[in-house]
Amino acid sequence: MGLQMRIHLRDILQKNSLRNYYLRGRVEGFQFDVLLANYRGHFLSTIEQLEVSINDQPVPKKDILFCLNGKEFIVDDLKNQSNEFWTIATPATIKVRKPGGLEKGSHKVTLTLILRNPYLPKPGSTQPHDYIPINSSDEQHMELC
Amino acid sequence: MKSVTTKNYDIKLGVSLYSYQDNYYFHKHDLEGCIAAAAGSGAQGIEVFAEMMMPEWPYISDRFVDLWNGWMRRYGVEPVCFDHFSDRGMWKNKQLTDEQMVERGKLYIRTAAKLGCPIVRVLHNEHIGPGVSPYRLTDVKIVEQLLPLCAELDIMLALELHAPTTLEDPAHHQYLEMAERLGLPYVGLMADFSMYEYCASTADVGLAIRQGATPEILEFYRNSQREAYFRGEPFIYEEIADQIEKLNPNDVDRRFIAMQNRMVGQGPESYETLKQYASSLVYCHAKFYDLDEDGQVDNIDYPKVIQALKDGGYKGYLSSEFEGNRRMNDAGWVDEIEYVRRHQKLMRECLEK
Repeated sequence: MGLQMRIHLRDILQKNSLRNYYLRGRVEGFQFDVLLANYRGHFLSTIEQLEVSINDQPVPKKDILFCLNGKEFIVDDLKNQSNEFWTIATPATIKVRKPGGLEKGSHKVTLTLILRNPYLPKPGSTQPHDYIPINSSDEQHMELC
Repeated sequence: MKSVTTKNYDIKLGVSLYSYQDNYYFHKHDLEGCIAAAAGSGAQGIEVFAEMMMPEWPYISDRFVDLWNGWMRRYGVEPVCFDHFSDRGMWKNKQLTDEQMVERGKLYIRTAAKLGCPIVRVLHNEHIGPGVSPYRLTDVKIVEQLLPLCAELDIMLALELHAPTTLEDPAHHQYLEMAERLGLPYVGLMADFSMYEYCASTADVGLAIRQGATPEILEFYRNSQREAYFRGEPFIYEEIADQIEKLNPNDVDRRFIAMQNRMVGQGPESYETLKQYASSLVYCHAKFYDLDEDGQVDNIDYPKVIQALKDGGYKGYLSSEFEGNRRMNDAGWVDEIEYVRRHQKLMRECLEK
């Protein structure tokens, strides 16, 4: 990917946050919490890429919800959220629709989360809208709570 | 600070809460805790940016402002600077227009006024030197449209100058000339001490080594920078390039050296120029990455920098801006609070001299 910012912040995927969630008494999917790995918060419209794999299986984009400030956004809607601010103190919750959820035990969660650093254009770039990316990705083996 | 009747400078010490970013991120201290830490270091002034520590951003409520004012009173400190960012790239395929950039700029100025900060640090287009950014950030045309609001609210915009740019670069002076032409003197220069680095910081050396650089090469390079500085001569990389090549530098070594050659170059900017500009500066970021065993900043000559500011009659704040955290925290916890405390002590000693 070339030049990118990666701040050495541990625990992007939040420990003890992996759990199944319910709809009408049934497990509709699972969820986990994520902290933004940067020194400043971001508007959600600066999220360039959000992907999730569970136990090495990629999750279809339509099954992912990004939840923050009491709201739930589908991935394709994030790019429009230029007034919805994600502070570095508040974890966002990622919900993944998966009827039946996850089984008890440990699961490998892979998060790809790339943001745009909206005030740092890549020096010398000739491409339009070419800003230095921030890598807030993480991979952890998480216990289902 | 000792009161000397003959002195023509008036220098106070502050802390940018940016210095405590890991304490905040890892929930060791909330915003109030960071303010308390700054007060505990002996500082009087607080610099803050909303994107880091004010979760209500961009909608700062009066209720929050009341809380903030309470903290300022309780800890005996005052707000001095609010940080502006030029978030031009707000959407994936569309940037903010100039009009939208002006409106965002006004939001920062109004928020600073709410919080009682007399200065807004502006991330202007040439903050790391002209011609680096392929797009315009907050340029002179945008700043021009912000000045009437600054006049109304009595807010000074501070153009932050980072290495490798210089105080004398005309790219910055176009802002001052525009303000003078309009009769709205609400923009001034702000020195970031990164301009006065004379060698690589041990914090950067350590990080590069952990990323695979060759310790002998970095040590040789850094020692050569230091020897040149203490001999009072410019550091000319070409003079040691052959010796470096003989040591077989790898890619990490080369990246490190290229970055240093760009940022530190031949050495610190002129102290004499700093002295000439001192009385017109509106703010200073007392940048540092690491301290040595004697309590000195390991790659910036603080006694010389502060002497130049005193001799030149600087009136304003020097705010500690610790950036060692993200250069060292891959190796373990960095005690930012202690770093800032020692840094404030160093600056007090320089002022009392």
